[in-house]
Amino acid sequence: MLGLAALAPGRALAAPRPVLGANIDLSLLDPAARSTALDRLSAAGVSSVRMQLDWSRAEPRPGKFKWEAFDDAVDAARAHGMDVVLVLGPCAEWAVNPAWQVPPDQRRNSVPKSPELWRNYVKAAVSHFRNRVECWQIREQPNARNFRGARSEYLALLIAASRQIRSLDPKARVIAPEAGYLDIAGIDHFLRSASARSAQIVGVYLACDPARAALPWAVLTNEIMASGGEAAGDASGPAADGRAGAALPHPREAGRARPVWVLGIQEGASPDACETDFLLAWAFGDERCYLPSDSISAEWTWALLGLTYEGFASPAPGAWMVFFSGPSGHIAVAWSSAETTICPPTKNQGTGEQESEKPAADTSVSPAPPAVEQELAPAPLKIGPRPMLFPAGDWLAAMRPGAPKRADVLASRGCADLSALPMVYMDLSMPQHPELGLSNRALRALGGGACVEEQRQGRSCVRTSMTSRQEELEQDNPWLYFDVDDSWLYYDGGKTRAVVTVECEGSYMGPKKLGFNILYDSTTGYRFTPWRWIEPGSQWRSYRVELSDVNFSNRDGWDFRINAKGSVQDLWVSAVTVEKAPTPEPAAAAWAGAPAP
Amino acid sequence: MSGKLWILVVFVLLGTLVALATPPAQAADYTNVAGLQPFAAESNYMSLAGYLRWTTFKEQGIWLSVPEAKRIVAEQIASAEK
Repeated sequence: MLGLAALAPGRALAAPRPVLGANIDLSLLDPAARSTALDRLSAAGVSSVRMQLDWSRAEPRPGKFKWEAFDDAVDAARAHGMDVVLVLGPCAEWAVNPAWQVPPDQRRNSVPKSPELWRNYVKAAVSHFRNRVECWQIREQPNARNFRGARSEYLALLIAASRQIRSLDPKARVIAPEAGYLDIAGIDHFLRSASARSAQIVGVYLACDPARAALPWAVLTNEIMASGGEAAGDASGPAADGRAGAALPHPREAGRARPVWVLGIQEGASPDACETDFLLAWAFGDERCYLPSDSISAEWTWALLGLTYEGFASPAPGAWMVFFSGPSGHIAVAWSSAETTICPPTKNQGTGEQESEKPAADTSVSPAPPAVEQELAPAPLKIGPRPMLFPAGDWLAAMRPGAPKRADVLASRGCADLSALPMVYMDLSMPQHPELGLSNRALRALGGGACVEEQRQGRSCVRTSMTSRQEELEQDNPWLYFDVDDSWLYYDGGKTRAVVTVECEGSYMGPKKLGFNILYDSTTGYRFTPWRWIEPGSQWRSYRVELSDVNFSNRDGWDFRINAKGSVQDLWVSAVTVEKAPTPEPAAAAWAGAPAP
Repeated sequence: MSGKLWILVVFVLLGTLVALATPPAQAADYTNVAGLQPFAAESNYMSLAGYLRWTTFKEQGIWLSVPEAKRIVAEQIASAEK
């Protein structure tokens, strides 16, 4: 009989438990509330807190610093055995450039008017806290909402802060937060830039739905972070010992591989989703995971103490199971986006080498309580969004070692694999499957995308719903959003060109009255194709548009959109087809270091 | 209506409000308008800064100020020319 120790790949890839951190602004709490909160978090196994070092409060007037509230917060956390991550920013009110006319409620999200002011603040903060704080984050999720400036302006702040921090405290680590929610294209672009040398840690944020996170997370872990760095093949990245405050080795700055920290979950995520995200962070080998403090409870954190991650399984579409070994044997935690019943694998189920080795049969390494397993494991289980923990038993036969990979996540969805299709399309004139690998219907609730489905000249089609009235801007719907199936094309580092064919009705108002272009996700962000005028007439016409350097990763739930704004009439579209075209050699050469999807 | 039913209604309403207040996942970056012709159909006959302001409002629900939009467009054009 063979046990889990025989699963060599799983053992090699086993990731230590991520540091469990809490996002809590301790400096805003009174001493009693702070103590209560820290007691609760400490009892739940939290060993790090992340909080803002608010520039306006730390430096209420230029050059005049007030550290008392932050000193109390940092010292209280450290007294509870927790280390502290400080987030530098947002912009002090007095440091905003009045010429930029930022609305009063948005001023703190602005860019400081002078780099010198920012450097002074960073220098003062690091000088003050350097013996108590090791990790510094540069602003909170610098997306369009939180950072009203150009990308280069954010990078300038990051680089300036990093220089100050590392010159004052060479042991310190700088965290560069991503701007989106697992925006893998943005992270990849950043890691390929010279600015990446300014950060030792990449911080990510997770959207409310854990099911949405698994695919980009798998690509980030196994492909982006693993390429070109020493950690290639090791999903956990540079070694982490799983304890906060310990002397961690610095990542190799020249490489792309570096620790990933989950910095937060989108507002509104349920406690179950937070717990699930922590389990996924563990599976993907992330070094730390910071959750909203309210979502952390000893009820679930204690159950995970002393465990070692071993692998995962996807027992049903939308369902996940992660496996751990522990002092009392092997356990599994399962959850599903919707209520579902899963059945344990039969003896001849399983994958690859596990199938022949029958790992569940061996108890020589970590003897599990067989009586309990035999009693509970074989029965079908009803699972839902709340993670359920139980003895692994026969489920071990379904385990795949290591971190889930792209193919694993795609397979877990239980959807048809469309990768062999020559094209994907939306063709409303087809009686069945009007959408095959290309969806628009599910995206009509997105901003500006509420197109209307109707009949036109005997054909089913969708129509933009545009208005030119300023007072009706919110009812203006000039966009048709599309999402390409992930199994057909998903983030390959820009290697693929796509050809989009749009079938639409001619312009009834005459020449140069109706046109469109396409906004699509590329390796350097959303990009427009050249504008195309649609010929006049009542015939249906086809227009082919080539997209180079595509980077379809659903980062906002869509991959491209047809834009008709600029036309003086609405656009009727009956079919859209996307085909792949090979990329010319020079562009492919630039991506020679990227892994194959 | 019984007290329990009122409590249930309040909870449902609160839940709905929380769900509605949850912002959608937002675009990481501003839409790149660098390749567009200003004051033409493709920019809806606006300046590029004006067009960026309009798209940002449509996508994110926030209005950039004109000087902010000009800065962002200038960076997009500079990046495109590299």
